[in-house]
Amino acid sequence: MHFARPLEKLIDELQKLPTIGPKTAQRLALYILKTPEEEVRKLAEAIIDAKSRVFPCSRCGYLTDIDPCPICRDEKRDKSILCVAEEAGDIIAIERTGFKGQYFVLNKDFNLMGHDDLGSLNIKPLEERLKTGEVKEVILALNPDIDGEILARFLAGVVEKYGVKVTRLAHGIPVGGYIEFADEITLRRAIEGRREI
Amino acid sequence: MKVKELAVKNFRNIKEILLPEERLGNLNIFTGNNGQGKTNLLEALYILSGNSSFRSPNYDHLVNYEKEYFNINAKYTAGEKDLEIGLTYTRSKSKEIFLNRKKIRSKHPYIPKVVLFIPDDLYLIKGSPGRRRNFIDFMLKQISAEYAYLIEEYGKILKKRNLMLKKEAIRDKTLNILDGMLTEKAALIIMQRINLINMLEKEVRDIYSFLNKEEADIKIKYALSFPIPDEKVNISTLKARMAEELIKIRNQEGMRKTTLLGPHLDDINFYYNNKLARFFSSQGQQRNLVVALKIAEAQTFCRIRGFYPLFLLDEVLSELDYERRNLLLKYLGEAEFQTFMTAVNIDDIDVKGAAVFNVKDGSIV
Repeated sequence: MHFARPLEKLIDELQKLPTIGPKTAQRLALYILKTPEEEVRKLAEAIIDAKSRVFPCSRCGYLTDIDPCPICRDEKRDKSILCVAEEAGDIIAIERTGFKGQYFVLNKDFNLMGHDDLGSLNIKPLEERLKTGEVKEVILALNPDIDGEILARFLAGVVEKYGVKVTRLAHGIPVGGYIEFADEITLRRAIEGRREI
Repeated sequence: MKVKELAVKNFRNIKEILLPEERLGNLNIFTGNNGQGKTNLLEALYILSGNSSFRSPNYDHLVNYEKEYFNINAKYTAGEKDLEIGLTYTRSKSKEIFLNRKKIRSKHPYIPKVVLFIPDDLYLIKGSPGRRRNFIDFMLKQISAEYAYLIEEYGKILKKRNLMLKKEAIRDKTLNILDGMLTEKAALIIMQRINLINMLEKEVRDIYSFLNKEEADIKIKYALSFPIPDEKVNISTLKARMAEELIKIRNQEGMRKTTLLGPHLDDINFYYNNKLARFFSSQGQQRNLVVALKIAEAQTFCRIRGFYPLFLLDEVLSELDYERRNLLLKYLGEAEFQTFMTAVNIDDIDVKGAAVFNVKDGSIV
């Protein structure tokens, strides 16, 4: 199959993006070619602009274009509750819940398969915030897998040194799920994590 | 658990076989020459349990070579419940399981449970420790979904730990955390295995004595990969001891770059009259022990879960002498569980009361 060189290059670049396979890359490339030049320029500029102006907040690690980020600046937010997440994407999901505390993002794909180690995790900014004494509770919003478990144990150790309460997100039956159809493991976790009403 | 009707379609050399309720009994024997499809019927029953086949992990191998799909249907009882299960597999697609016509996952609690004997199981006594661990794990996984999950988690943690050890410098911080996670799961696994082995040991003696007309002292002992006094075996000591030992051998593990102790390296020892069966029992004694062990597996399963699994035996009779063959058939004929077995030749044995199916070229004749 023959592609014009510039088109081939565009397809190759698009294919490097996550979840984009060869077919999708080809479809996107052809779509871009059909789009008016002005629109394409806007897309290209938006990519460059976002890349050059967005950076992790020096205080919480969430993505921002001003430092500290609007969440850290927001005086109405509860400074006593700190939610720790692995990725900025997790914060976006948690924000949608209406959570009104503050955040700390580890900003690190913690992956032992990828030859990472806990020692390389930058938790200095987290410790700085714990030292001030304004944080009363740390919520560990980590994924319920092995890596999440390793991280949770490690961070719980760090947080406990400052005498701050640590909690972890509950796992159990999803909203709208039926007990009858839940597997034994999920149900067991849900029973363990039950609460008074 | 009792199968009341079995229908198999397009499965290996079987085009279509229906075993109706009026022909099935407590003891069912598939007989016929080699390569006619006797074991295929056992295999069909076996994969209804959600496990992949004991002959091939690839479902494509199970589809009749002229067809695109196979279908296995069974009506059975589990305790008080009347159930109907259907398993369909279409080439290079995933299998689908239906229970009472509703699609289910293969971990459903009412899916048929099985005990399987295949001639290869004779290596259970003298073969590698992995075989013995698999024997115990297979049982425990069928008994409790919690255990299946535990083993899976342990495997994942172990894999991470081994990856950590493969790196140039040992990272103590991560290893300490991994050790905590590993030993927690390990202690639970070991404890469940030991409890099960104790139950098996109680059952196996009587069965062995009946099948062999001799009083034999059979003992089954769990052999840990790290030292711990017998009287101190409980979850918290197991965890603590294993953690201590892991610290002791950390340098050694760093050199060998793998985890050197834990339930993935434990073993199970069988003793016949106080002698290690692996080394001191004859081929025949080991064979008889495995057969008794399989029956004990069914009995123990029932003690825990309150109902019997299906008992599937492939070519067991040809392994036994004349007298033992008839004793085994007598035992199975009177047993509370349902048995399906294959046999090439039944001329010189007493099959009164058994349902005999003559299998020829993928059909019942």
